[in-house]
Amino acid sequence: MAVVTYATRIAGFAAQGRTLPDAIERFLACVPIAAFAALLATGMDVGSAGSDARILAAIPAAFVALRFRKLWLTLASGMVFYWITNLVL
Amino acid sequence: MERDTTLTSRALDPDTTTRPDTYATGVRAGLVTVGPLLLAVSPFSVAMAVAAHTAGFNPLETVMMSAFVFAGAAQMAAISLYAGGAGILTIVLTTLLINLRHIIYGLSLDRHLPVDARPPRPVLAFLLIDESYGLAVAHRAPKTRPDAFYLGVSLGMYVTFVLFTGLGAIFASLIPEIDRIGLDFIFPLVFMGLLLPLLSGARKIAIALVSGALTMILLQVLDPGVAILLAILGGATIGTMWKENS
Repeated sequence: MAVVTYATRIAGFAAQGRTLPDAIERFLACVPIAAFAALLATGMDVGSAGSDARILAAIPAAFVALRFRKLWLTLASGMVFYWITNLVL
Repeated sequence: MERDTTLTSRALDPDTTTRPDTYATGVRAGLVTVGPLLLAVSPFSVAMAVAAHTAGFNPLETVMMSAFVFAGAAQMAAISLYAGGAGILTIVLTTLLINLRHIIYGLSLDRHLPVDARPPRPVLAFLLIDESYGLAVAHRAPKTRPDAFYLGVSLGMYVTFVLFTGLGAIFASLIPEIDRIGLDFIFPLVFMGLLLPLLSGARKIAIALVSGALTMILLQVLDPGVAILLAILGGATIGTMWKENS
């Protein structure tokens, strides 16, 4: 298990910081945004138990994220909002 | 064509490799940034250790799995499969599928690290997970070395993960059903906090929407690891093909 997992982790680093063809570079530049969106969607798990509380908490947290652009503040306020929505729902 | 330079290779920027006194600062910054996440990782690690105990793993096996594999989702899947009587081949294949997205992370993160990354790439690669990738790739502070920052984040996660797996495994028989008080919510919060500031322009919003929608659809029929991988590929492809009017 460990070997297989490590193989997936090291494989991507083969490029060693060199630049790759333009199309690949453009593709890789899109990966972070796509990855964050996918991971966000996975964590929100819309439709499963408690997703209403998550969605309702995520909305004000999104405002905080866009307005202040500080990760720790988004996390702290988000958890507070979530605690509130869990109490209410 | 105006090239989007927001995520250009930092390996090409000489400043990041000629400031030897910022390595410790970078590690510290990484540790500080990952701090809030560790609050959620600890109960997850404990819960996973309890699940492992229930499935029949002894504490040493459980801790070693965390120490050598260091992949929560894959470990949970492996534990469930093992408990269900699955064979070793199934478990290994499932682990591979769940972790395939690490290849994309490696490719994407590689250009952000200096050519002479300390510790070297093979070591950094071992610690690669969703959160360390996310935090490292989004980190913008010009003074800190990205490899030092990544190390700080990763060490925080790794030590917490293994430590709490151990604690959970040791006390597994004494703990009733774990109530994680919804601390898991911090994970989607992190990725939302990383995502939103990046969404400037229609193309980037489109990437996020496509990837998010694909994820939600695919989660209905596929394992999360595979769903995430395919959604990333889909979203990034849309972004690559998108014609910008600039």
